[in-house]
Amino acid sequence: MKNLDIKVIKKFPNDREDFIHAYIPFIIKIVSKTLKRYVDIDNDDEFSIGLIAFNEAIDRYEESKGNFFTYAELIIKSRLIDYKRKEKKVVIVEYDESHIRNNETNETKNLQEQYILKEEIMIFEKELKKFKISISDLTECSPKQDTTVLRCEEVANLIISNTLLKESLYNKRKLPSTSLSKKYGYSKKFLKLYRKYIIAEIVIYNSSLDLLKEWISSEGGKNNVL
Amino acid sequence: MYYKGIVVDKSITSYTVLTNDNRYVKVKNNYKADIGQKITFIKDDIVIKKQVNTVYKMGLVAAMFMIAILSVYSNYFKTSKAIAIVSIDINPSIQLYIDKDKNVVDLVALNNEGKELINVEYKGEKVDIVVDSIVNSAQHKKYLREDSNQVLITKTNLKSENIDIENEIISTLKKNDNLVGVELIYIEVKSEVIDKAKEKNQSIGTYSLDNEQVEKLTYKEVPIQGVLNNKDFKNNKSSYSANDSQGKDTDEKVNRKEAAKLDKEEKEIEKQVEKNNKEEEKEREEKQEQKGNENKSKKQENQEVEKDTKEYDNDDYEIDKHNGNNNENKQNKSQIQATEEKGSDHKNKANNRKDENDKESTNEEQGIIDEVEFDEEYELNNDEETDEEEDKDNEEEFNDEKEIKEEIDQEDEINDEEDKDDLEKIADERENNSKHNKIDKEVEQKGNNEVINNKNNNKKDDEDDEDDIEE
Repeated sequence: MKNLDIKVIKKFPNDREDFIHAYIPFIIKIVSKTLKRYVDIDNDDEFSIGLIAFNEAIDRYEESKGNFFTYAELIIKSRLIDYKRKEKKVVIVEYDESHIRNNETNETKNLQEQYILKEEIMIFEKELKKFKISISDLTECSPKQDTTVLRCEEVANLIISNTLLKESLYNKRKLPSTSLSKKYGYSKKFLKLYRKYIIAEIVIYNSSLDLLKEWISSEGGKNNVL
Repeated sequence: MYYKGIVVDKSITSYTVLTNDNRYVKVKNNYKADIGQKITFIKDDIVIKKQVNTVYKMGLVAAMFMIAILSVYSNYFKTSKAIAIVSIDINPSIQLYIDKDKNVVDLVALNNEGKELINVEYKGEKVDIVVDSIVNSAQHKKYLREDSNQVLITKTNLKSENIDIENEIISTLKKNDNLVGVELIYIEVKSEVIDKAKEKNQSIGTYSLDNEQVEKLTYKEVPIQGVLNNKDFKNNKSSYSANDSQGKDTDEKVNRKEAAKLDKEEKEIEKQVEKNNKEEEKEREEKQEQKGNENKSKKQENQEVEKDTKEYDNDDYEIDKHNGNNNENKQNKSQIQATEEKGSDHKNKANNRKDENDKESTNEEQGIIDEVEFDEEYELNNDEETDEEEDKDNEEEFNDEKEIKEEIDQEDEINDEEDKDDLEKIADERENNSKHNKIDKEVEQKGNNEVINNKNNNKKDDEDDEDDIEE
């Protein structure tokens, strides 16, 4: 998607969609920058405002206005600021009960979810400590390629379904790598490399951490790009 | 590409995020976020793996460290092979670092003139060749002229090893026909001088001459044309120690012998003059009978005599210089004059000693000699011989003492080879010939002597007058 001719993009809706899609990271970046926080594109209104603003920028852009992206940034920023002002006005001046309640419920939902997640993460951390693993360790040994991620999931599911392996893991606090490599043909090197990651996965699957479980396994968790 | 994730862990610089495709990623904490918060971030926000980062940083630090060390010690490495520094001072000052094979490892110019003379090709060449070509190019660029024709070569040992480069340098320079009338001064100094000279921003050579740090001094003229001028170098006076080098060209030896002969004769005349002075002094002493004052006056007089003779020599030298290029004569004469000066120095010293020892009793009865007949002179010569023998003994004593001094304290040791040679020869010849040959020679030279005597006596009279006035 390297067609940067805005005139062409304007005319053809398909091109426009592709173009916007390709520059979502750009929109996220600008939105985060102006809001000074990380956004959550699923729940934050600000991101959709950014998207709309970006679309508007495509409509209004002319070559005389310079670089398209600086122009788009300007538009996104001003739209976001407009939105914030409007929101404040809504809260203070226009006392619309239904609107506020609606808004509150939305926010409280998010907050609730966040608190639950926080608790779940604390439990998760404690569980990992039993295996002498810290969360920051996981960043160093988490797989990069999708295939390895899938293989790790495979191993985790195997251990959870096999009570023998699961028991030996929880009793010895060690991955039963010898039996895994002998019976199921996983190389010891692979098991050694991703030991911590696999254990973390097992800990999540084999617990009541529903939100986390949902996050890593559910379809909604998967890369549902627009 | 963008990622969605839940913040799982917080640290000072980053968040650990569990992404929705089940990976743990570190994200820059550009913005605020709480644990449990769902965030969307882009690739730019992901922190590059820490391990790689630390390795990179370590490498960077190590590289910086290496660079720092290298820059500090590069000079050291460069000169670590060097075991001696040879500094050349004309007006351009240059330092050569010499390794143990007598090759030039590095050249450093101490002033802008020096930079002009430095050539990169000198590195790796032998010292003597480099010194020769530097002096040569210095002459080309008119740094060596008639009024400033001195080349000061200083050797400093950096390490305990000692290399002898003196003979090589001087012999190569002597072979160079272009360097007519150039005066070579070769000195050796201790390594402590290097730092001190650096502090004062002087070259090693000039610093050590100014501060009398000289261990060994050799004075050469290439080819011998000028006259050594004692006033130029303070250390020359103490440089007549006895033990010295051999290995001179036979031609030179012959020349010197002749020179020595002539020299001796002239010395005798001088001695007569001095003796006369002395006798007069003594007469005065007897009258005054005050020894402390006597000594002082005597010393003054001696100094005056010295001055006068020097002036006389210089005059002669100038005349010689004007008299064109008759090389042999000039060489002889200059040698004579050089030795004469030294001789007079010594004589003065010897005389001083004599004064102290009260040995002069034999000479006291002698009168002033204006015109001397043959018989009288003969008698006088006999007396003179005894006088001279005493002088000689004193001189030898003096030399012996000096030798011992040198052995004990080498710092003060300053050798002037050529002059010393002359002195030695004179001493030898005196020992051998004075008793037998002198009479004959003096008979031969009587005519001359009489003329010069007259001259000297006139001079002496003047001096006496001056003395009287002073007193």
